Amino acid sequence: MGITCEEVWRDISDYVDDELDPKQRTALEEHFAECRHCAAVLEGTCNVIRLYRDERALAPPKGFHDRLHERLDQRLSQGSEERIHPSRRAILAWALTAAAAVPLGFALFSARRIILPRLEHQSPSGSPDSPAVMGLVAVSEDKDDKVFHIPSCRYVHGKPKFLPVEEAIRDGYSPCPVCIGKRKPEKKGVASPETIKTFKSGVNHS
Amino acid sequence: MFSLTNGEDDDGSYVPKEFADWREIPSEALERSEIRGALAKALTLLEEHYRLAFILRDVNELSITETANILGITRGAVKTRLRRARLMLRDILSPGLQQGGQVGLAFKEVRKPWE
Repeated sequence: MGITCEEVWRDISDYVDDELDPKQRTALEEHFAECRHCAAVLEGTCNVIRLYRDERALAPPKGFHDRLHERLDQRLSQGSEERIHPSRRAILAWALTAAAAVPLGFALFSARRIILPRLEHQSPSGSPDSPAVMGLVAVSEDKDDKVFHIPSCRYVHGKPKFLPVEEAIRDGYSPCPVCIGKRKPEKKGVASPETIKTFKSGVNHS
Repeated sequence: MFSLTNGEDDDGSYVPKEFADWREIPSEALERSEIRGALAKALTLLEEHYRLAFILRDVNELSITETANILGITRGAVKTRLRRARLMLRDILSPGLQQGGQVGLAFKEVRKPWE
């Protein structure tokens, strides 16, 4: 065996990206043929990439858009008064804490059997006046466009930054019309596109 | 939340911790919410600079050069971060996903077979 396992682990990512020269590539392939551990590492690495490249991997969970638009609507109705009822404030604080604790909180919606199996049921999302929206969204770090996107949206300009969706709403970001806004919620009583359009100005100063 | 990078240098070197075979996960597995939840959760366990490089390159499918331009770093630095991110994600996800797509063990602390 020409190269060591350590050398293989160092080059395995570049191998997957086809960034190695032919000689290195051949050396790795010869190693994989003989070392089942490294072959397993290669297989797993390719699996990871394949899974995440599937557009379903980080898609917003079921009900995300309904909850988001409901939350935006609620925020709008509160924004102009610049005050939140103490009980609402407590609920909102709880929701923000929960969201911050799980930055990629899509797991909250979907994880039934793993780490946070019950948080969804404990969240105040069922409360009619405080629909919590969990999940991570992307915003542009160096462009002040005040728009947030789902993580895989191609319209995040410049360097992205990922933050909980509740934080984005609180900071006055509005949803990207391409990746989020286009899915018009069917649920009665949620924000209309016009409402969302005015949302930005409504909460910027709250 | 445990750190996967304690005591490791930031030169991209990373020793895989899980060597069990991980057969191909059927594409239909992504229809399952717990699999998607596991993938999202695993990303939160990476440090921000690894997560960013991985999302841009492997989720958004940008090239290494495009990723480097967006992050303002060299191609070499992107490749280093990708190496760490991919191997760490593999270690996080392997224990659960290798057995027919079950994720019940996905976040158990990874074991070292040689210890």
